[in-house]
Amino acid sequence: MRRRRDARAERDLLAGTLDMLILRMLQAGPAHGLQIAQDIERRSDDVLLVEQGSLYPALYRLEERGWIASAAGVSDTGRRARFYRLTPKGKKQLAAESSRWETLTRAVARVMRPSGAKS
Amino acid sequence: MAWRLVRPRRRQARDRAEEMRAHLEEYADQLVARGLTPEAARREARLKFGNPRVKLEEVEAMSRTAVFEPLWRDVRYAARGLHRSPGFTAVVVAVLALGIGTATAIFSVVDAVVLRGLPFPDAHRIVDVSATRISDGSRPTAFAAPDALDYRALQDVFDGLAATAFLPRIALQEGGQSELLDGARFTADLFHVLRVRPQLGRQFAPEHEVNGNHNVAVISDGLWRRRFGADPGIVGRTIALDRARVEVLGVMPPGFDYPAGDPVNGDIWMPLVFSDNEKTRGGAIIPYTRLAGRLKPGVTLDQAQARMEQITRSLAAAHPGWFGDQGILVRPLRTTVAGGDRIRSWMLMLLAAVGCVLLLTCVNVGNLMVARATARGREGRIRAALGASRWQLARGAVVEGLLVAAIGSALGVLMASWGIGVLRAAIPTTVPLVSLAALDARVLVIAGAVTIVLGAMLGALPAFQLASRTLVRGLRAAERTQTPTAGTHRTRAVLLIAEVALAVILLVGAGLFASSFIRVMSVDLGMDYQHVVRVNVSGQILDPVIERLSRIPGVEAVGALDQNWPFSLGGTRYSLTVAGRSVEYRDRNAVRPHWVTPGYFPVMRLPVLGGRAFNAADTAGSAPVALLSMEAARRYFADRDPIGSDIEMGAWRATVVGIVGGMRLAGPESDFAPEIYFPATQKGRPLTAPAVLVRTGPDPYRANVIPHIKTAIWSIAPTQTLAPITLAEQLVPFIAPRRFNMVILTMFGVMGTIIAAIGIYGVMAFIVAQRTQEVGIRIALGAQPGRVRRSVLWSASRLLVAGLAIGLATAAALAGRLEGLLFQVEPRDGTVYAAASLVLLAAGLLAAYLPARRASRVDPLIALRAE
Repeated sequence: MRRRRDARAERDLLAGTLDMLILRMLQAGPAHGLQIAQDIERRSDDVLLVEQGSLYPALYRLEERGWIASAAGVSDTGRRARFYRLTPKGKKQLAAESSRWETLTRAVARVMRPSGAKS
Repeated sequence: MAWRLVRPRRRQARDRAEEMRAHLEEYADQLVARGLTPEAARREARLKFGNPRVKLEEVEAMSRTAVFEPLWRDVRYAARGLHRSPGFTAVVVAVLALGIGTATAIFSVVDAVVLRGLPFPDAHRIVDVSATRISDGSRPTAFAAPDALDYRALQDVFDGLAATAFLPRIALQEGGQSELLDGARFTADLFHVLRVRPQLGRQFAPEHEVNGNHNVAVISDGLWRRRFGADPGIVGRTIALDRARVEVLGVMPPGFDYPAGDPVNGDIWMPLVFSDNEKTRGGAIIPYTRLAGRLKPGVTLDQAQARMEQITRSLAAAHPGWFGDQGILVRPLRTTVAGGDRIRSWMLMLLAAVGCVLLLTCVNVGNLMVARATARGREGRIRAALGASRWQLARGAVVEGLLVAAIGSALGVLMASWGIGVLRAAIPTTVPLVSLAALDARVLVIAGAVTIVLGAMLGALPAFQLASRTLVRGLRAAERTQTPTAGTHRTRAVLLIAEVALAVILLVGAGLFASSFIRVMSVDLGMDYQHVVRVNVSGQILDPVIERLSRIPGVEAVGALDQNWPFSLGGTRYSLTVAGRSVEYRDRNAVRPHWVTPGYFPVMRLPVLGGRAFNAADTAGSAPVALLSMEAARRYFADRDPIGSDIEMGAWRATVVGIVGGMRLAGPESDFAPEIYFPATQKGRPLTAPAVLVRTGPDPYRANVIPHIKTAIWSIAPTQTLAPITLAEQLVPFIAPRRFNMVILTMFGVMGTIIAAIGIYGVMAFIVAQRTQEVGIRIALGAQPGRVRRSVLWSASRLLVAGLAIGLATAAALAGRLEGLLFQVEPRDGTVYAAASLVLLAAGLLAAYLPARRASRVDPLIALRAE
């Protein structure tokens, strides 16, 4: 039983993080799937390597929740592509997520500081 | 609806696939622009993206509207799985079909007899109104005509209160064929009470309830089709009934019957007319009138009861001495036709028993499904490793359960449609409304609901197991096809114990009803009914008929008696004065007088216990004589000698000259009632409704005596309607419910035992198969085969004993409810419980013995090589 809950929590954490990253990338303006994936890689200095395909389940989930909206358009190379943009609801969500993330990373950083470590 | 949901989803899925493809191409283009070959670019893009199909499926699985397609996929997958193991599927489906079929058939009968209403509009508002007597145990009985008429005139709570009465069997003489018809007489307002009208012609009206106008009738749809070829010209025609000419006014709709739910199908209904004699209180009025009414809107049963009690009190005050302890009872008409609480509890018992069978079936199938899931554990683990979630695996199992249940119940319903016919024929004719049992929408809906619940349960058992097994543990043991876990063992042991418990409950039930039947059959009836034929003739020709019948070869004795024939219900009681004490006809000690010929006693083999029997010297001119049955002598004379005392019945006065043995006229479950016999010769007029009883040496059917009896009587009275019947046949309705219970519960018990034995065999064989290596090692190390065998039997016995203990305790707790349905058997009869346990123990150990023997014959070399 415990094992199952742990596994789910782990997945949820990752999924939640990916959602947040997508929302953050769309803050700059509408983008299609490839652009979002490449933005994430670029901005993380290629540390966060997104499996590009995994982006889509997340995108559709976010769309279903009403945090992003999509419209058909044409990409730089002239291909039909779907462009996603942030909705007002998504903006609020992003704000909430960012502040939670901030708190979390700051807390983790504090814990990890070598000076306070006992051994 | 499903279509509209699926359609846009399809388009959406296409769009999404397209979007991903465009993504891949775009990325590949970028890579080509950076200098890769197109092929390398495509590979790289693909690598970076992951498998688009997997992603699509992931999207689909998470989509909330994605219900139908994955379900369909699961169904297909389950069907493939079942197809791959035809043996397993056949067993499971067959067991389920048997269980569901039996349950559906029994349920449809119980539904018709007990649960459903009568086939009239707003039937729950129709009530029966009956007289009760405290001195007679407050049983509902008929009214005397004047009382019934007064209630009809005074009541104000019913929208119509009709008087009804029995119609003596009446012979239809049409087209040279004579047929005895059943039916009823009632006042015209019954049509209004029941809210039924003829489908053809008209109904009779109050103007027909006058002597002289009363020769009219409405007939059943069945009779109309059977005898009159459904000719609409029947309306207004005159038909010959007995010696009267009766005009047919109308034809009732199909399915109409009154008395409602009477096991005998009525064919003719006539107006109820009272003679002037009957309408005045006083004298020896025989109560035979029943009342049926429809509650006025807003009137409750209790209010009607209170009002009728009030009317009874004022009537009693107006006619002092007449009412005595007579009360009144208003009850739903439904409760009268169901034969009261007895048939109700009987039917509910059947339902409980068949529920037990169904549950047992399911537990057994559940056990099989768990075994299969265990055996297929590896498949599940592989699917899990490939990315199937626990939810998907569990859903697959549930779908498999539902699929199996659906196939099983489809076959079961087919079986039931055949079984209902069998049951309708097998159920004793004393059970009302059985003919209405059918596989109707109501039964099918309930069967469907049961199937869904069953299927979900069946699937949930293995699903639970799949879900609780962790992937890692499963994979570690993956190389063996069967990996027992403690959890599997526990589940299967619990299911097995439940099977044994259910089976022993059924066996105890079977035992109780079987011993009831044996005791009923061994009751001393006081006479010998074997090889006696009864045939009714008219009183005028009685003497020549007796004389003629005595001369038929093979006939040992011929006698006759008037009214109150053996094994016929009802009967007329009279008031009389005996030993200086008057006994009212409605008293519990009331006597049934029989006018008999001297031959009656030898035919019935009734012993003469004192004094003398009638003989040829008792003629119309000689001194009136009487015989008492032992019970009558005991009740009226206690230990004094009754011979020589006088008996007065009305103006009739006779001297007791002898005592004969008693008999149970109303079957084995009735008491010895007081009987009194007068010689037919001294009645002064022909007997009213005499029955001629003929004792034939061998079986009357096999010896073909009955046709001889008929021709002999026809040689005297060519137009006489004859319906000869043996007393053994007449006894059938009295013992049929017991025989039916015995047969059906024994069937259930045997089914239960076999299913439980299969379950035990399955589990033991499984355990033995798993322990082959262990056993091989033990044998290689010198263990005796007998010891190995004993250890397998020992683990089976532990389960058996646990199941027996639970089952016996449950049976003992439930058996109290059966008290009213048993005959001279205690619900907790030790012998029955012990016998049931022994049977099940023997069957269980036998089932365990086969795998045990296999275990003890394990060849250590082969067993170890298998590792």
